[in-house]
Amino acid sequence: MEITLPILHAVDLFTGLNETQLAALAEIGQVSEFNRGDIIMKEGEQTTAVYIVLKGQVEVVSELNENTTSLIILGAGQSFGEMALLDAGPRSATIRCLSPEASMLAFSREDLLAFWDRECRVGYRMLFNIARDLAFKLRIRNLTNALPREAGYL
Amino acid sequence: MIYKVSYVVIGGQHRGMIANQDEAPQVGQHIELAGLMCEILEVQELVPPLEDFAYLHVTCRLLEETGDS
Repeated sequence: MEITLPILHAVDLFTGLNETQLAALAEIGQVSEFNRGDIIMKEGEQTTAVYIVLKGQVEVVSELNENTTSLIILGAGQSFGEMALLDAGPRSATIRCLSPEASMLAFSREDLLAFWDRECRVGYRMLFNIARDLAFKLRIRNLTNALPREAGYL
Repeated sequence: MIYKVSYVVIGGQHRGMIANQDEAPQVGQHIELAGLMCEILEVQELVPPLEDFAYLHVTCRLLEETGDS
């Protein structure tokens, strides 16, 4: 899949970045293709790349206590893997391809941190955007926890 | 404007979804969420818009399963 600027502009992780900065980021990212059922990352593994869904849908699955629970579906424009990007800890969930086909843009932690060191404004904006996305997800969690027991959870 | 939308489905038959889309969701609109047809019951602004992005939370009810995924 070809990475175009309109696709990158639709990713909230990149909010506030100009076209030159987006093009430079695309240079250090790697596009990967997946098919339905493929495991993109596994809970507990020690990998640190961050991913952006360019096309398709993925499912976030928790496998704690040998119980597999589907937590949420992420569509185009969403990112995952930010926690390991920030703390280099083990993956907190498994990500599985849900749509027949999906494309991801992946950044290695080392490449992204080195890029942010060179381009500090890009680093500031992306870290701000990651924090905002985590706040968004926390607010969703708070809202859905307040729903009755029979309601769908995230 | 790009709308970052979180969907939650009443009834627990769908695990919810987050997607970026070009058009704002509307109450009464029928949408497909990973193989399930749903009707939007409520749309609320979760946090104030930032630059080109609006952040919305949508509550839906299940209509029928499409079997698409």
